[in-house]
Amino acid sequence: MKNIILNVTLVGISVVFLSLIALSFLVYLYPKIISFFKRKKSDTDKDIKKAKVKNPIKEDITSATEKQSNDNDIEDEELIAVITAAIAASMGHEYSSKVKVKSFKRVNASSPVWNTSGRYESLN
Amino acid sequence: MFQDFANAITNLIDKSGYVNIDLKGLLMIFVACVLIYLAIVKKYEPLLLVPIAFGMILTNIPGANLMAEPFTEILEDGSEKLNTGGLLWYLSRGVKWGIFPPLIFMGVGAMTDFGPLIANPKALLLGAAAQLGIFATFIGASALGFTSAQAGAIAIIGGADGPTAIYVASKLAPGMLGAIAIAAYSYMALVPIIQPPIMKALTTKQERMVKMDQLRPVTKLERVLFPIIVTLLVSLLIPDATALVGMLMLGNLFKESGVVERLNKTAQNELMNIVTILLGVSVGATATSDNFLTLETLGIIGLGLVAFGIGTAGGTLLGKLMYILSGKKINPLIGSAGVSAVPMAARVSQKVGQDENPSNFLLMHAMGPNVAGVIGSAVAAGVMLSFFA
Repeated sequence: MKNIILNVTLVGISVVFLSLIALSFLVYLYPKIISFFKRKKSDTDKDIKKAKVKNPIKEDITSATEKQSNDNDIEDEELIAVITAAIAASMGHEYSSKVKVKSFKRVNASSPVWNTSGRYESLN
Repeated sequence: MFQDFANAITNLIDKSGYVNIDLKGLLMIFVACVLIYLAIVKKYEPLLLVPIAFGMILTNIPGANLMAEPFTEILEDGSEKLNTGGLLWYLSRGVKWGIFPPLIFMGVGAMTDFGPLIANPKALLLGAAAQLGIFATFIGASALGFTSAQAGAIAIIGGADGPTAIYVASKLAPGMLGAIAIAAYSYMALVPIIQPPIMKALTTKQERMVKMDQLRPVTKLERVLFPIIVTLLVSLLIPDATALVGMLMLGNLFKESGVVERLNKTAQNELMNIVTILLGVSVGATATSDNFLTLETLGIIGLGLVAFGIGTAGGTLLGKLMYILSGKKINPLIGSAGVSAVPMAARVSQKVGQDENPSNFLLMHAMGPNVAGVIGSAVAAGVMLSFFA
């Protein structure tokens, strides 16, 4: 009787831990495997380009930075759109399309957002 | 003629429940009413406790025979007559045959976001540690005299997972299903009361104040691969866990793949609701006075509390170990969220952490161990089933 209890407990705990450790290991490897595949792909692409054209380096670099700034631009545009929408929503009726967001800068909160919104709610 | 009339009335009275009910039945109905009060007024897991409690009432009405099994009667002239069973008997086949709990798990998977877990795979270890409660309770239950199969079913209460507990109980200890389910859901509702004292007792103030780094964003590819990998890994290791883990991950795949929005919506809403209703009523229907009003039920209730407590302690202690090993980067409070009462246990971690340090937001970090615990308890259930089913 005692044998079974010990057996089940030990086997059970080890199986649970083992399976979850194995899983966590696999998940931990995720980003490595994915970036490994991506790097392989872009390596072969770059090789093909170099073989074809002789001035690839400059073009590659400029296109790479352009691509990055394009990405940044797109992200910024989305951010601007979201912030403008939030401003429009909180302004309600007073909002007119003449309001344009020129620039934005993050102001570090002096107290946590929850506290601020709690204070706001109790005042209004 | 008057005689016939008198006979008819007498028959009616004889059949009526008011005459036939005994003290035990009345007690069961009283307990059911208490549960309804807890569910509706105190809001203890009402989605399940309301149907469970009402099922309890229905099953304890004498003469209604809602749990009667169908049987074939041979009449005097030799012909066969099929007597149909009671309504609740038919509905409860979904529990007895292990259909409803995996379907609920599919809905749970469709509602679960494994992102915080993928971003921080160490949380899986915390989910595993919290399942220690299951095995400690198993030892305790066996020591108290329950058979191994019964002890296994009772122990799974510590997994803090309703469908898992019901699934295992339906296979290992069907007679205790009602008590186990009620204990499981009641304790899940009591998590905010049970956990904080244990969490505070096992951690120092300095440990509780740790603020964790933000989780990295998780790509869609990772989210889609996760359910497939988990299913393959766990099911091949423990085939008995396949029903639960497989359905959980199928639901999650519906959600993450993004190409089956209709199925995802149904799994999360209509299917979940339908199965919850049927499951609740069926589980309540097994709680007849003979099954429920026993000393064993008291044992189950006591052991359930032990299970939750040890699970919380186990997760928190491993959290402490990880705190030390990671160079004070991991807050031990998220360990207790490995007790897979989603999302209650994660919210408890958040609240206790915030009590110490108002700007500490542990919720997302605690969700990792919380959902890991769901997987962990399904694995533990598979182990119990593989041994005793």
